[in-house]
Amino acid sequence: MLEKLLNLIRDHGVISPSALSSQMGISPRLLEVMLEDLQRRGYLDSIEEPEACASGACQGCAVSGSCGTRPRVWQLRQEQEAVKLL
Amino acid sequence: MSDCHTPSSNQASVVQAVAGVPTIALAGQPNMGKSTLFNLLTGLNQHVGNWPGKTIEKKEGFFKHNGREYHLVDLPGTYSLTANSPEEVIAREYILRQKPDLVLAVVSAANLERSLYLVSELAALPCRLVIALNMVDVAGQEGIEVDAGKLSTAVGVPVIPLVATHARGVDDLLQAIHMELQSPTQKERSMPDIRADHRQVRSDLEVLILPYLPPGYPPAWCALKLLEGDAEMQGLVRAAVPAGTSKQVDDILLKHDDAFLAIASGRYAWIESMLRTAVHGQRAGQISITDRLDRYATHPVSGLAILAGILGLVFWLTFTIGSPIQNALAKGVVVPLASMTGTLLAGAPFWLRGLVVDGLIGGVGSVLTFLPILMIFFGAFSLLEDVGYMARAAYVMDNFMHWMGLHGKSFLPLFLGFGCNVPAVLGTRTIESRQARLLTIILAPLVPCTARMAVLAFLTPAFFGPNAVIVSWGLILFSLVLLVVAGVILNRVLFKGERSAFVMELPLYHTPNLRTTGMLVWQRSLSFIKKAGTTILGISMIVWALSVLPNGNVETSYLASVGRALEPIGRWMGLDWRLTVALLTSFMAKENSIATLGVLFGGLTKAGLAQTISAAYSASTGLAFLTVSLLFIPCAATVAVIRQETGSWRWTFLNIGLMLALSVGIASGVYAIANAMGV
Repeated sequence: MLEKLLNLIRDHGVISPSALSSQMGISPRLLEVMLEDLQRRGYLDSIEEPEACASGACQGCAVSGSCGTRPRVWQLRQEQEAVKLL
Repeated sequence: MSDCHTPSSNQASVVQAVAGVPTIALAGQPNMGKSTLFNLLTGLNQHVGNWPGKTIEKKEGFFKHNGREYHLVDLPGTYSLTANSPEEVIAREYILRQKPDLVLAVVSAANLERSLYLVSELAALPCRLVIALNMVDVAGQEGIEVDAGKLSTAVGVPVIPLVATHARGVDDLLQAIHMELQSPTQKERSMPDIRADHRQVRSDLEVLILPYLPPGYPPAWCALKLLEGDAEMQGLVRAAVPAGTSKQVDDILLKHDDAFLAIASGRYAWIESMLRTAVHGQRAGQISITDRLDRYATHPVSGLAILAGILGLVFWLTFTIGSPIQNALAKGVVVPLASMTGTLLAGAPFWLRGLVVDGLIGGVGSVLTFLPILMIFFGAFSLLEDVGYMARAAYVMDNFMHWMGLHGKSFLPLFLGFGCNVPAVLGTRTIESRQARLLTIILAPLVPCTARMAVLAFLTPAFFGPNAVIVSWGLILFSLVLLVVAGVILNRVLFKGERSAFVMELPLYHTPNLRTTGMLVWQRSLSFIKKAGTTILGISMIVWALSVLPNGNVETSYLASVGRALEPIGRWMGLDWRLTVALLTSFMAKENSIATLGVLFGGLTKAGLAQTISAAYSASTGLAFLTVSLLFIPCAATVAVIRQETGSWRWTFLNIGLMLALSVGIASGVYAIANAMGV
């Protein structure tokens, strides 16, 4: 299941968890657990919101509020990096 | 299994389990209600200490049920039994070496997907097991129904529904524990499947390590942990086996270093099969509506068309509703106010009248008349955000840029720039290569941030009246295309066409909350008014002073001198010195260009700023001015962050120089083409 998941991510380039779970035939919640597991194991990187969004660095901008909440993003690590981490 | 009731003598514990009192180990992931159940069962009859040699808290205590006493040990919260953390090592060491009489696994019915991984590992150990299916009430509220009987049959161990916070189901749980201790379940446990090739490898490893394992460690389980890449187990085996065997083990592991994926996959397949058997409902309706909408909204082609359509709609709404109000405010408030104040201050010194009428009312007043346009603009974006669409917009653009071959490490920070260029520059910290990072920073100001879009919403109606929607829509699309082209070049040069892959979470669509949207519009408007009263006011005063010094005539003022010095460059884009100066002042804050035009035009005419500008400049000049404004050097805050992040003035000035060259070059081209087409 995890191999299939990694292959799907690699093939699609950019994909949402919803599309992934429907292609895998599993619930979105189980997919989330699997993504987090792959992240813990070093196959995926979780890309956090830059500090700037929380630091108030763009408070001077009148429309900074429209930044909103950024979605959670996981990035596939290069294979050699993942193997090294294991 | 009964030789481990008493904690070992080296444990710092005052609790002494009495011989014959069964020990129950409470296992589970964090936040599944394990501590609640522990406190509920033991009450005050508990002791808190530390696990031997660790700073991790150890809780144990006693409780009675139907006259029988039990010793309860609360194991640290763990996700699995692989040695990823000290908590996981403690939990599994306790179960393997201390051999409690029973392991009670606490799982959450509302989050079974997360809870069952640990159960899949516990089920493989030779221990008596009971599952406490906690939080069935929370699951029910979320429309999730877990059939405990079916789950019990599927796993092969007793499963008891429970609401630990309300002490519901505790008697049944204790009865099940008693029964399991009296006569263990005879059913065969369901185990995660292991791929055939790994099964053979596991057997080979088992044979190799069997004679050397410390007591209590099941050889098959240890072999599996070795294959999973468990560092703790590898250390234990290396220390126990002879050098030759160690080499054989290492060789096998090296050949199968991908085994973790297969083993964990087997566990997830097991979890999926348990869920399919025992769980019903999962807010399916809500998910399917989102899925149905996303079929179009996130589709590579229709998603882009929807995004372009929505952008056009936002500008159409903004101009259709906002422009008439803006004109009415300009003609009905600013012009009469300037005229009335001019009359009132007729006897006042020249500088005071000029400062108030032209500087204050002409500058700040003109900017404030655009507030209705901005409020509609803010409102439209707040609604889109609240509905959940903005994440789709980013997703569609990311997908498009990936399709174009742009490297993700560049485009993710760039897409943060749609809110503000400042976080976009800071977002490049995820890029390891300094060269790639510096060039991505250079690209960041090309993103049309919402401040630039708002300025576009200000100025386009002034230049283009009823055609403002199509012009502003076209300009935003043009700047996006420019960004993609620049990004693709960056990818080819820096990343050699290498691609990366992402999973981007999308929130569920939901009905917008008008109160939330109203609050956001109010906060953003208030923030804009504050800016008008500080930065824009200050710049307006300076611009006014420079426009009247040294002799009171704007045509021979210092400002005109600066503008005329730059006019030769401005003329490439069809800009006179006034527009050139307005562009320059936008460096401090994008809105200053309007304030400057207000100072230079607004207070002097009866028609209001928009109509004066419309009459004063041709459409080709307007188009060139909007283009150069959209691509001009970033605001002062972004420049400061570029300096901070690059740590170099040279790169900062290079960035300013490049943006200047790009904006002036493209705007000059736009002006020439527009003129040639007779616009």
